[in-house]
Order: sequence, then C-alpha cells, then structure tokens
Amino acid sequence: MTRKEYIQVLTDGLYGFDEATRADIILEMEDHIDELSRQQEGLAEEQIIAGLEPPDSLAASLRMEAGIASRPEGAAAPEAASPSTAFVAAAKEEKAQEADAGQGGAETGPEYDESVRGESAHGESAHGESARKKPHSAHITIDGENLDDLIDRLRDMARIFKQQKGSRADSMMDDSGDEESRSGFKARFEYEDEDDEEDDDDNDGDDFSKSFPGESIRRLTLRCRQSDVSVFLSLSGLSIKAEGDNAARMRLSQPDAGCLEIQTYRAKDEPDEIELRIPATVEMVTIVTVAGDIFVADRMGDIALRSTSGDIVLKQCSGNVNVSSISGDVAVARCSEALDVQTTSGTIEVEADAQCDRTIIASVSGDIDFSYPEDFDASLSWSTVSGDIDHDGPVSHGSRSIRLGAGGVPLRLSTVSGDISIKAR
Amino acid sequence: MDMENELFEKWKSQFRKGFLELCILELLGGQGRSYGLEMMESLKAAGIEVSEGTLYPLLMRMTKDGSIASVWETPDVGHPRKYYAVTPAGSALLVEMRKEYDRSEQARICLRTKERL
Repeated sequence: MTRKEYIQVLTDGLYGFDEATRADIILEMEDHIDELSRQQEGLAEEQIIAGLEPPDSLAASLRMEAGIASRPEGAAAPEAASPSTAFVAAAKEEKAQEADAGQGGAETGPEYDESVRGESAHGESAHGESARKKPHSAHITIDGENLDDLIDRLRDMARIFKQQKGSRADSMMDDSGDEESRSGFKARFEYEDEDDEEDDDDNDGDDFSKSFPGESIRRLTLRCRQSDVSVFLSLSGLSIKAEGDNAARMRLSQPDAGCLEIQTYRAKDEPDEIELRIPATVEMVTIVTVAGDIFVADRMGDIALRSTSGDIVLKQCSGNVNVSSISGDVAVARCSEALDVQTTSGTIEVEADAQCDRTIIASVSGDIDFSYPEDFDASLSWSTVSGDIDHDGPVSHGSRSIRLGAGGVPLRLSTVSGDISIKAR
Repeated sequence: MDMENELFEKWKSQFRKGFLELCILELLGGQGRSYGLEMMESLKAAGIEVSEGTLYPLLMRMTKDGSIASVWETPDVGHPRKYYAVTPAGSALLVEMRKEYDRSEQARICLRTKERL
C-alpha cells in the first residue's frame, strides 16, 4: 500500500466526523508518515506503511472513540461523505449516495453502539495482520492529478488554522462579562479617555458614539448577544455608534496597544444596534454574536464572524472572510478574497465574485445556493451525503468537480443533508 | 493463538485503556509537549508498545475531555505538526491518578501476599 492509498482508505473510513476533524486527523497522520519516512530513509514507502496500523482499523478505533456508529455490513463505500474523494467513478458515487440517503453519517450522535464496540475489539486484535481485507475494492483515481491533492491539502490546512482562530474567539466569548454585568458595571473605558464621553449611570436612553482617530487600532473584536451589528468602511478613523435604551451599555478595553475589544452586557441590557465604521488600517475584525444579525459592507481587510442564530450578510468585501453560524442564515455577495462559510442548519447563499479566491462553503443540513458570474475561472467541486444537486452548467452527470473558464481557484461546496444549487448568473 | 493468550490479550487491552492515559499524562507532564510519533517512540523506549490505532483515538478523547490540549505548528519547511501538552485540569487529574494507581498497586500486593500465606 502506498502513502496515498493509506490516506485514501483512512479518509474513507472517517465518515461521520465533521470535515474539520477529519482534515485534522488526516493531516496528523500525514505528518506521522512523513516523519517516519525521514527517520527510516532507506526503507521503501510500502514498507513504512506496512508497519503502521492498517488504515481501516485506525479509522474504526477513531470512530469508536468519537461514538460514531459503524456503517451496516454491505453498505456501499462511504466516499460520498469524504472530502478528498471527488474523483471516484460516477456510477459508484450514485450507489454511495443511495446507500447514504437517510443514514445521516455525520448526525449519528454519541450513542455507544454495541456493534461498534464489537468491530473495534476485532480491529484491535487483528492489529498486525497486515493482510487485512480492504473494504473498498475499486478506487478510480486520475493519474497525475497531484494538483488537486495539493489543493485539497491546502484547503484542509487553511481550515484547521482558521478554526483555531475561530475557537479562540469562541472561548473569549465564554469567559465574557457576566460577572461585570452582575456587579452593575456600566460603560466605562479602560484606557485613557480624553473625550468627556458621558458614561453616567442614568443616561441609558442616549445614543452612544465614540471614535478613534488615525490608525491606532489594528485589531477589533466585538462580542455581543442580541444587538444587531453593522459594519461599514470608514475613510478616516474608527467609529462606534450604538442605539437603543441601553446604548451606553458597552465596555471598551484595550488589552494591548492596537487592539480594541468591545463587549456588551447581558442580553436585555444590550444596545439594539451597534454600528462600526472601520478603516482599512484595521487588519482583523472579529464579531461574535448569539442572536443578533450582522451586516457587513465594503469591508477592506480580514473579517471573522460567528453567530449562533443571528443572520449574517456580507457585501463587497475584500480581505479574507471567515463566517460560521449554527442556525443563522448567511448571504455573501461579491467578496474578492478567500471565503470560508460554515453553518450547521443555516442556509448559505453566495454570489461569487469574478476575483474571488479559495472558497469553502459547508453546511450540515442547510441548503447552499451558489452563483457565479459568466466570466468565471475556477475549479469547482462539491459533495453531499444525501442532499440534492441542482446544476445548470456544463457538467457530465455524476461528476463532482468541474472547471469553469480557465479553472484555477479552488471552490468547494459540501453538505451532509442540505441541497446544493450551482448557477451561472 | 491459544485461548490463554487470547484471554491475556483481551485483559491487556482492557488494562491498557486506563493505564495508557496515565502514562500519556506522565509523559507529557515530564516532557512538556510532544507529538504523536514522538510519544509512540517514548512509550516504546519505556517498554510500552502502542499502535497508531490505540494512541491517536486516545489522544483525541483526552483532548476532548480537556486533560490535554493540542496546537498545530507549522515549521518553516515541512508539514504542520500537531503538538500535545497537559492542561491544568490534566495536571490535577494526573495527581489523582497517581494516588489511585499507587493505592491499587498496594492493594494488589497486599492480596498477593495473603494468597501466598
């Protein structure tokens, strides 16, 4: 077995994991194999692979640990759930999709399944018998398509690093200001405040406004719960406005120079609306909300948005965009750099820009509506476990990737049960 | 494989489950951070051979439990690597695990002595 085949079988075996976790595991095993190859330079790749735990049994152990039920005997190959197997034969894909329909690979909860336990115990005792039967007999791969592998790998890496960024933002959200709000702490600036901004306790009805001239702020983070947030481009300094009964109920702090953090209090004491005007000199903007909607227009520079149930709309942004939501819907129109959108059940609508860069759009059960302009150059691929595909472009039935125009920029759409629509504008 | 061996292997895999978790905490606690292959080698050097199929799922679970944490690091050249380290919760767990292990070991010795007498 070659390294490539090992990774392929392992990837196939990791059904039921979300794409990020799967990418994480694959990346870790690739490093494992590469490091072994460096250590044992004289050894052929096949020999190194033969010394490893067989990939199907490794996948089975990982699945068991994650509480993912195994596929019933005789079910078709799990490629439909796999991100890196976009090039299997069309007929096989259809079979896999049929078999997957209704099974909901990624949604099998953490129940502990007796059959899984059995399978894994078997896997463990069978460790070392390298002649174990491979579960999938006919892999059709396109020779020399290293480019696609590379794109896949880059995509996985980008996702992992972005996710780490994201989870940091989430954990900051967790230890957020509940304690302060209980102590009745009101809008007060934790830095030297030369403006005599009113932060008396009794003017809650007034709107709030604060600006930062020049280019002092490089990173901006806003955490709120129910406030609606709008972001616009500012040509001069950074400004923050809030409206509503509790407009002043925000805490601004500068944990270090160049970094501004805005935090609202308990949901019922939050401003109704927060408007940020952000200059391009702010390199990174992060907005975390629970139920509030987020609207972003003309942002220049990177932006990361997280919501639980709030809807998110972005228009004409340039800079890397990273959006994730649980049940909120996401709409993105004409953003010109890398785009990463993930939802659990929220629908995703993307109007791709001709200048767009690497794009990953993924949802568990939300539908994806993707449209692209006529003069569009990209390598578009998609995968779904049980969702429908609606595509009007030049594509042979069953294929899961197409080249648009001159190809190039990788775009990936994936769902577990959501439908995918791909349309030219 | 005869039955005795089979029973032994079965017991060993049961026994290893908790024991290995303790060993990983000991290893990471002593060594600071480490990555999968390096841990396999350290464990092997100490006399415990584990396969990828045992180690990685365990690391995944321990990360999920919060006793260890992982971080990806990208060297200037080469593949990104996932490093693991013990969390404060993991250190506290390790202290308790050591106590429990020592208590159990003493109990076993105590029982074995009784049997011999």
